Amino acid sequence: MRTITTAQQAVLDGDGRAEYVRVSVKDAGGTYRDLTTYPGVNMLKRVSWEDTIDNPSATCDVVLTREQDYLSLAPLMAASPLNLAFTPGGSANVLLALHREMKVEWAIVPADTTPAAGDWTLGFHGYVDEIEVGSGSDVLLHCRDLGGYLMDLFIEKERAYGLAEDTVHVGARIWSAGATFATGEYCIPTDGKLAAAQYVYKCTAITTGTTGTAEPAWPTTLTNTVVDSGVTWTCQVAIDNSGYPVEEVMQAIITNNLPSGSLTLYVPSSPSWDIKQFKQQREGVLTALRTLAQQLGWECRYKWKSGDSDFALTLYEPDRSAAAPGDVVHTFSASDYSDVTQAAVRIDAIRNVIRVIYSNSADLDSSGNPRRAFYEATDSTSVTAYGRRFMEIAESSSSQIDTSAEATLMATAALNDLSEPVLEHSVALVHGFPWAEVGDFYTFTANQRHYSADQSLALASFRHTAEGGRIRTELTCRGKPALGVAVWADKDSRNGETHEVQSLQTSDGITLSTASVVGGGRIFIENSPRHGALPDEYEVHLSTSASFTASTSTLQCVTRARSVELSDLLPGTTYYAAVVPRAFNGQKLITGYKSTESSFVAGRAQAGHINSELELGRMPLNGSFETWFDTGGNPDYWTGSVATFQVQTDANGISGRRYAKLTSVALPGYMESALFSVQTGKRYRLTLWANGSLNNFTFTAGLRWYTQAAVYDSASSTVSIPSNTAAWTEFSVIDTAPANARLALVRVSTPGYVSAIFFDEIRVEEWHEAPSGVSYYGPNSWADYGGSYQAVEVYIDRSNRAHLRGCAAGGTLNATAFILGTAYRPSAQLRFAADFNGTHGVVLVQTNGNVDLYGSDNTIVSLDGISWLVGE
Amino acid sequence: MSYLAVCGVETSIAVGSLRETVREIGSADVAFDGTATKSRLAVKRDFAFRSTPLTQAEAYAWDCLLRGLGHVWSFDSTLYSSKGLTAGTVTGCSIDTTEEQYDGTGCLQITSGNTFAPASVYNTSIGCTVLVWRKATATSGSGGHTHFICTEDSAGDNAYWTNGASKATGSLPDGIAIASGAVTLSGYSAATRYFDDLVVLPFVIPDAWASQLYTLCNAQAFSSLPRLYVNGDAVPDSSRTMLGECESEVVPAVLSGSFSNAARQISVALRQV
Repeated sequence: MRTITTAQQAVLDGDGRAEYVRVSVKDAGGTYRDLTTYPGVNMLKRVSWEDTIDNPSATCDVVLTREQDYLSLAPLMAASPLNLAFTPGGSANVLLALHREMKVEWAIVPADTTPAAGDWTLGFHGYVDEIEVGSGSDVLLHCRDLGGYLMDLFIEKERAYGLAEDTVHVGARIWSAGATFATGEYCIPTDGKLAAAQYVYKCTAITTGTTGTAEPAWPTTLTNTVVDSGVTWTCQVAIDNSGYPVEEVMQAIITNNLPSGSLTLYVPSSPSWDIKQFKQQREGVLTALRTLAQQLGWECRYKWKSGDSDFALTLYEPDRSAAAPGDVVHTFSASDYSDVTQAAVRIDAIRNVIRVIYSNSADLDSSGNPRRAFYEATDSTSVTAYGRRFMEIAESSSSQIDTSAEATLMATAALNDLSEPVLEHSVALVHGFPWAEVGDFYTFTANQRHYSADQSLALASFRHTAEGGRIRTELTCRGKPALGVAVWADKDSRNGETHEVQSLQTSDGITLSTASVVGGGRIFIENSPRHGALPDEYEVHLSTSASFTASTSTLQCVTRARSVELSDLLPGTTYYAAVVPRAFNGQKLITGYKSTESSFVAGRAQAGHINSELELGRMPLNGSFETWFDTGGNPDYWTGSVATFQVQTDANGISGRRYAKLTSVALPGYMESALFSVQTGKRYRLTLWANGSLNNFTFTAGLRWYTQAAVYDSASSTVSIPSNTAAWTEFSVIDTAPANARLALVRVSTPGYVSAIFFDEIRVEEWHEAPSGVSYYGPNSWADYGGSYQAVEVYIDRSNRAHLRGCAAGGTLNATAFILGTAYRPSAQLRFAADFNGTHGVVLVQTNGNVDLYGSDNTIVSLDGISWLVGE
Repeated sequence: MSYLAVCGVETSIAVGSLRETVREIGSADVAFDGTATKSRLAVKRDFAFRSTPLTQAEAYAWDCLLRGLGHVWSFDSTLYSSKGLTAGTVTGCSIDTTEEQYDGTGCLQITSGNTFAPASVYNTSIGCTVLVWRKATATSGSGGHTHFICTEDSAGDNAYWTNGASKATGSLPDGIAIASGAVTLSGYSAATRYFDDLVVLPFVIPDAWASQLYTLCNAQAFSSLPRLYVNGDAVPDSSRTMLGECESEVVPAVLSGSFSNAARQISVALRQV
């Protein structure tokens, strides 16, 4: 309660008093104008001001006479002397304007006397929030106290606080691209780079003052600098986590966000509470300050500060200990009030089980984030008397309630405030009592009608109304000094709105079950948490080792579903799965504990998975066009360009169920297979069957070679296919994969004229090597027989069998005719019977490659039909 | 001393009609336990009376005066009247606070060639009266003031009194003009002129009021209309500031030795502010 001066006490003790009120508003020049005298007449009709413990700021309503003669208080009456500062023809100088500072002063003096200058006492100090001029002949001013401005003042830039001693009074912004900084401001790296830096950086020089598009390489040596586009940062101080007094951090929040001037937080008694680093989100300044204060059950609001004779933003603890008569600051008897307008007790505000959920800084998860924990306080006496009445306060992950001790303190404070029913007692005093302050502890003596014993109650709200030469005061009292019930009710998260910050201890809630699928496994998540609501999503972790630690290397996916299928696993391998529940508080990720593991064996494909009609190993894949999943498009593994490419499903093909029709238009087009592997230097044979009867244009088919990187290299020889073949006809072409070829595809090109042709059974197979001539051994004079006979050649077929063909003649018998290359030599000497010009002879193939001819006639020697396995 | 004067003009009260009532500003309450309580800001004393029969002109003048019609410029700090009226143009007009004022803290200074002409806001077809102090040209510092009471009747004819006496007709003093109810104060042609305590009343005062009004103005500033300065023997606390209302009725009476069936008798209520 505000101090009652000796003179005022004498008036209170006397039998008569005079109650005066005046309202002053600052004009545009900052001079207070007393609305009871400045206009020349008293324009004040009525003023009321009130405060309640449930609201962060006091309010005031003023009713004024809108005009008297030419004197108008209406702001839009431009010619009114009051809006011209009594200067004819002067510039507009509106007296009543929004956000003008105003004050209500009162004086209570002996009856029939007028107040002296020193008798006036400030009752309300605030700003004009609303001006209403349309109500009859009145002007209504709606005002909030100085805290109202702080409520509206928005924290536009996020800052981190509690970082280090250098920044405790100013905070540090989080670096962002294109942001504007001033010299002297502090910043910290973004989350992604903070862990590596762990320093606070100070803007020590600017050019443009704007940061660059990419985060700079933060120096990690003190005093080192880095230029960030238009800003120079100096490594200023290392971040510590020792904590800093909350009142200093609160002062920093105020200083950082006041657009001008200064405001000092008044702290009569320090809470001795150090808070650690946190990021102050964007919200109202007063909201931010009260959030910090209320985390420990304290309050931050404007209170009367007698030393300054004004209201000051004050951090204070409600005097919860006040309960004894000695704590009472004033006693009201039944002669002090005219009526008891309310005296009731209610159960709806009782809470006797308080659970505080918080992020425990002493228990971090694998990502370094605090795990969620809770503390529960119970008043068993209250539970017995009124039944269990539960309340849950879920503190955000950025809350300074991050230890068990702090959560205990908060829960206890709430329990003290809410566990017992309180008498709500409202009285209308017969006189004004403008010394009242919310939180005052008053005694109302027994009035023998509502109560037969004195009642000591805390003031929850008051309302003073000055009108008609008197002040009326209404008081509403409730229980003990405390935070407002509404303050605690705002924190109650039982409705689930803040479920994302509920407890996420999965060990008592989540059960996994698993099943094998081909090439992977399926995980089913069952969650019946004992505490809190379901998390937002789950991290799914997998390892081939049991009892693994969840980390980024084991993370497979994040899901909100209850069933997850993991693929691309090693068939036949045993895997261990676990999930980690997680939620978001704003944009802050909160992870819980890893669940118990469940194992499965990644499944193998069964024979039944394969369609019996599918040919495996052939090139190109789906060369007979039998698979066609996209029935509105091309057959599988085939594409077309310009030309129309359709799958035919009638019986006119030559194999399987389907074949293809390629329709040409007036521009060149093609159809192409998917890529398949080839080996450089190998020969490949493309065969395809075609059938057409339309026009007589030429389609061509061939292979296109691609490099290992699937880049086109060159084209093979092609085979021409007339579009009027009339019957199914096989076409083929053979070519050798060039040096760079590792992949190939089949392309059938259209003639560039309107035509059509059907295709089926397109196949590419590795072909035997091309036969090559032998190297005759010169001293023995053998040579090809020549003429119409095949020259002597050798080649190896696809079965690794070497073949000789052709006829030789004229050389020395029983001697070496030619020598085979090493690739053709057998592992042991071989004898073959051969025709020596109609006589029997022997061809001896030796391991050194010598081929000797034994016989009696060298006129012509046939080597056809001789073959052997190479190297076996 | 008068028995009861309003703005220095003695009232003519019918015998036995004057009543005084007392108002207490504050409240008298009964507390919850039956205790009577009182808070009192002030005690206000109000008058009510009926006049003797008056002529039509006198009755009208009283009606206007009691209702507080008119404007008063003290020129102490602004160029505005007590009701917020000023001249449309104030070029060359300012408040002088260097002892040129007759009383208060300031007076009107008009430089050469300029005028102060507050807008006419009343129906002036039945005339008006102007009271003002004018400082002599050659006088500097305090003193040298002359009080003028000037009138313009319904016919547009002017008259004026100097220091409450010596009525002159057909003209107005230099620097003061009234034309169809519009009042103009003018500076000298070649020098600054000072005026103080300008009062514009939207009616023509009876001649008998001139000396009484001068006496008041000579002693103190005219009350800020619509507030009325009330004093006299009937006011034990010597003077009050009051707000007035009145009603009139037509009565037959002998006025100045002649019978009139159009005399008026007014009922007056004065509330202390």
